[in-house]
This record gives sequence, structure tokens and C-alpha cells, in this order.
Amino acid sequence: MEPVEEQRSDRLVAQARAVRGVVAAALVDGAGAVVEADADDPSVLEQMQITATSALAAAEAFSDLMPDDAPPVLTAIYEDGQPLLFTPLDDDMTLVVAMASAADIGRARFQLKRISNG
Amino acid sequence: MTDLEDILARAWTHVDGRRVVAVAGLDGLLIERHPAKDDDPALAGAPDPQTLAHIVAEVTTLFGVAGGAMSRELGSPVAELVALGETGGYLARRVGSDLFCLFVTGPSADLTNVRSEAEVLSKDLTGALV
Repeated sequence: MEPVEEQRSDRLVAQARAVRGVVAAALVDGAGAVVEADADDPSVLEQMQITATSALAAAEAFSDLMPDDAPPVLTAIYEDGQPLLFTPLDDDMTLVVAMASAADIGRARFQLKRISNG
Repeated sequence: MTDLEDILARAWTHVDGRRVVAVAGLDGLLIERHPAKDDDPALAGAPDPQTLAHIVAEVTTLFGVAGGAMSRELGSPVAELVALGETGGYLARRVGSDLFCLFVTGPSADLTNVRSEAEVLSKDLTGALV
């Protein structure tokens, strides 16, 4: 990865981690590979990585159904385990975060939208 | 503390009889509230987090309902909703096209004060976020 890209990846993940309620954050490329990640608990990152490929495929399928063809922000809520939020970025990358609870989804969605637009 | 938390904290201090102040999306999801910590003693008497999430969802529905004939008749979208009961009330004010702020108050709150602070909060949030 180029130094500038690496800096941006670091910054995005750090900004996502600074959002209250976010317990893990990862930047994932179009193939589902983790480019940058940070978490208190490594097992959460593992779950995020396992889920990412399926979520990206689902996002692509949903975007085909949307009038503007834009990749959607996806939220995955599990019976057990942290909710995951997938925010598409503008360069075929996706910012994936795990939240402490479903009560954090609104805040995370709002703040990640600001981060991804910034 | 983020800008958002600072702004809500400031609004909180200016309203007597307050229970909680929050900002939410018109998608029905709570974004932030003040006091933010679940164990904050200042939250005594405020709706618990799950109840607040339900209230936010209901207010969102109400904005949707008020966006029909009521708004058409007014000639502009309904910007503010007030719901009062014997033990307190709710005041919600739209912030831009996809957010609203919400004050939950006790019976001692002065509605004029709450409305005025909601307007200030709305402007602060618009300046910072929208």
C-alpha cells in the first residue's frame, strides 16, 4: 500500500474507533480483504472478516435494485454478537464497524456518514 | 466529547424541568442523547434507553404523518411537534431534512423556554452538522 493510502486507512479506522459504541473497525477492499483494522477484541475482527465477503455481495445485489445504483449502507444484527455496520467508501473500499449494542447503531451510522464524506 | 455531545450538553443546561435531550434521524434511530451515560444520576426520571429509542421511533412516525395534509395546508413542512401529559411532555423540532432534536421534560418545564431552546439547539445543530 502507498504511504498516502496507508495514512488515510489509518485515519479512517482511528476516526471510526473514536465513535462511542464502536468496539472494532476495519477497512475492507472490494475482494473482502482487510486493509486496516483495530479492535479491543481480535475475535470480533475475525467475525467481521468472515461476514465481510457475504455482506459485500449482498450490498452489490441490493445496489442493483436501487434506483440510483449507489452501494447501500448495510447493518447486520445478530441474535448473539455485535451488530455490524458496512459503510461503502468512494474507492471500492468498505468501512466495517462492530458496535457494542444495537443502541449504538444510530450514532454510528450518523458519524460514519460524516467520516466517509469528510 | 464530540461537537454533538457539547451542543446537547449546552442545551440541557438551559432548560428547567428537563429529563433528557436528544438528536435523532428521521430514519427513526436515536443518534445521541444527553446525559449520555446510562449510570448518570441526572438521568433519574428520564426514559430508559430502550424506551427513548421507542419514543424516537414514534416521533419519527408523527413527523411522517404531519408531513401530509397538515404540511400541505400550512404550505411548509411541520417543523415542530409538542406532546404534553400531566407528568411532562415532549417537544421535537426538525433539524434540516433528515434530523430532529427532542426534549423530554417533566411537569415543571416551561413550554416557552423549551421551544426557545429547541430553536437555538436546532440552529446549533444545523451549523455544526447539516
